[in-house]
Amino acid sequence: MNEPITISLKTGGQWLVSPVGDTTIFCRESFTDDHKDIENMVLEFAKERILPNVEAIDKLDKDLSLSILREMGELGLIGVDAPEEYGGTELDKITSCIVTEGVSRGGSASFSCTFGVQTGIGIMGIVFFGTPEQKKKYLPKLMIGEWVGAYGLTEPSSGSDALAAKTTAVLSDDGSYYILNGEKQFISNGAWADIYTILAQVDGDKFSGFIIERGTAGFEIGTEEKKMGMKGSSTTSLKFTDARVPVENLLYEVGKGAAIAFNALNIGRYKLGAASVGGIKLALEETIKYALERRQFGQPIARFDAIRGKIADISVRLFATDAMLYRTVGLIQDAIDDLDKNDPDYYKKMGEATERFAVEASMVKVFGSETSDMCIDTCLQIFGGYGFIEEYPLARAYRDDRINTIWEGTNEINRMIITGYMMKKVLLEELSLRNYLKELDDFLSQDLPGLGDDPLSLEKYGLENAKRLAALVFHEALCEYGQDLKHEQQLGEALADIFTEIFTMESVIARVSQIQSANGASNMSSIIARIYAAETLLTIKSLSKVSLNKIFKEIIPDNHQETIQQLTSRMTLHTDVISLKQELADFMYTKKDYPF
Amino acid sequence: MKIAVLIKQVPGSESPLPLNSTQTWVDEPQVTYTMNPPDNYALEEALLIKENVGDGEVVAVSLGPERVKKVIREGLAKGADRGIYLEENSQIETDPLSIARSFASVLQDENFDLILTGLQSDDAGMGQTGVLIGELLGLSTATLAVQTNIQDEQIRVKRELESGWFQWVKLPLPASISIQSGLNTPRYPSLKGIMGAKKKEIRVIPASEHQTAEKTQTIKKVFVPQTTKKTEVIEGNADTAAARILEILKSDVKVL
Repeated sequence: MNEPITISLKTGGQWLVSPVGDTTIFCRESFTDDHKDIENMVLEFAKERILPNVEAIDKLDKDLSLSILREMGELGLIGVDAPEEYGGTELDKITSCIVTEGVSRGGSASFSCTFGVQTGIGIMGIVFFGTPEQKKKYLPKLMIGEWVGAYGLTEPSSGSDALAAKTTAVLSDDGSYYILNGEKQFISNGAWADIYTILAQVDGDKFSGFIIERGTAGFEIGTEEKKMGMKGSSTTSLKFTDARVPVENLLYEVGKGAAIAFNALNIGRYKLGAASVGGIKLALEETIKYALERRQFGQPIARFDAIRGKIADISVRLFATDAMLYRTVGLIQDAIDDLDKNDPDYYKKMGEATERFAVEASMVKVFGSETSDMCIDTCLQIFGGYGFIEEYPLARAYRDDRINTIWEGTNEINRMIITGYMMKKVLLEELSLRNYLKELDDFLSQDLPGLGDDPLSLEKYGLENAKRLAALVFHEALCEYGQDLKHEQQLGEALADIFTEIFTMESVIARVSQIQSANGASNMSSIIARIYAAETLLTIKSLSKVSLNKIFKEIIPDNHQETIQQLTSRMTLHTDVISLKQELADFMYTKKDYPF
Repeated sequence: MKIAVLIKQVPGSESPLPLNSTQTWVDEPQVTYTMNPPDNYALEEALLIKENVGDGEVVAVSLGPERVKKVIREGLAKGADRGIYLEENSQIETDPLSIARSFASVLQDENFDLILTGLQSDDAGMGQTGVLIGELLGLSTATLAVQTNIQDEQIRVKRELESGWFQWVKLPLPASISIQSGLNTPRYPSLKGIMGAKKKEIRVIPASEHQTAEKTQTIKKVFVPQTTKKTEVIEGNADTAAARILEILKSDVKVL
């Protein structure tokens, strides 16, 4: 027997092979008083300073957007992720998500973008990898919004294939500056920024980061793109023609550009989930209000069962996104808490700690953006014809939302990351899939455990079986394709979705169980968990079936038939989701604000 | 300049307001609370005065059940230097005189130069606390201040009168002034302020130490006013109808 490999639990993916309910997760209900106070402040700010300005911002009013940004800088909201020494507020990643979510409750996705770049990709390269001199020079003014930040990775011919960027940087003969040539595309804050973090190839193939100031000779900013949505945010190309960048503006080291690029993206991904949660909450509140006011056939449309179903669906998906988002951020923060703040490499190590949860960050990005798609679309549907009219809030939200499955890595790329990283974890034996499956026969020989008085015991049991089914499918996929699994993209996407559904379902169940043990039985959150579990187990079953049919080329081997049959039958719940959705929607109608 | 700001916690404007089973107040557990908006302006004015004078102390003071500590903390987050919390755990207090006596008994030893209150609370709306405290402590008092100006040992106050009239008055310090809403733009607490608030002192005064007098007023019943609908069909020719409509607009609706 092999020696068991000891690994740090503070790494992603472990939930796949851990018993349900094994650990306490971080969730909204775990917020401290400081978190709550900050949340209240940001929500108040968003409601008073952003919400009334949504239309004006959408007219690409630079002065307005930047004046709001500066106000937020004064309040310390820009620097949540940045060191205090350089003007940041240096709070935890939970706070960072609370702020992101709160800002998006202001209803201007455009402003959220401006703010998100300023607090994320526009500064994080410098925060993580900048020298003390670079930090001192740039961060304090970025923190108060006096300077605006931007980040340039994408190029006209390289989007998803980011490392294939063609922009070049050549060291001058006297070694005092780099000469940059090339073009960047779709750069948020492009026309408004003062400081740009730009990725370019040194000596043709050493991907590297540079800090470039506006006004650098040979650096030109293109015209504003005419976009489908996000009309109030600046998006331009950037052009470098023999642009001279002093050597002291090299960020990190030559050839370390990928670290800069990917660290920024990991953070951007979970923050996108936070922004989605804020946007959906706002849309849901507006939609419920509309549905209760709008009368057809002599009653508010909210009372029609078809609408109740939709309101319940949105509420459930939103609760789930919220649960998996804060669980992920809690995991990342927990890993960061182990680091020594006085370590000169603290921020680099923070990047590495975040990287260990790249799977979860990508899951939050995919699930958050697709939940947002589904929810905004459904809200617009409930608004009926008025949803299609610009004076009502959903048309803009719909157009603005569309970008979310595209940027921060397309959802296709993120699904490949999910399955790819999970695969890597198995191959490195960081995730002991084989050990887990060894116990499968044992597990299957046990009967359904006593239900006790846990209202979610059937759901938990279903999830235990779903984890085994997922592990089995994954294991068989790896046996069949090995490393080539990465070329089987459709199968890889199905696996990514199975993993995401399991992680999310477990997050929902854990969050609800925690709410119940803290506050006694909460009927409504329990209803949400039951609906989500019933529907998700069906999804996992069907994705698994599709995957197995591919892996086994339509002929499931006899030795697997019975196992799969047993697992899937134990995943079958008989929950009456329709009645639960009616009850949930009626509850939602009694609340002015989203109550969870 | 030592300034006390009296901050009340009241039901938020968007909170549901169901009545309790005895119909003597709202059903508290179902209510979400917020800082009384007029007090927010008083707090901002106090912070501005302190900043202008260049030195001094702003103390956030509140009375009520444990939950009201939240508005004190909010005051501290916005820049108040310390807090005083007067415990009060019985049924909601609406008697302005006994409330003022409680505050006065605690505030008198502190020798504040200035006591600021919002012009009224958004729940009970009595609008008397600041004046009564001034009277009990022998301070100068003014109400409805829309502008303040500290000069040596005096405060000049611009007061809002009826029909668009204003009045400047000059009062010797110490003084108790009630502040009209809208005279300034209340700040948001900064993240640093929020994080720093928990390090600031909140002195707790047990109920037994400040409740000196018997209540002179209790709530008998709280109810939602009945709305009645009355339709009047105006008959006659256009002139008669117009005359009647004019009369209604003048005497019933009172918009003319």
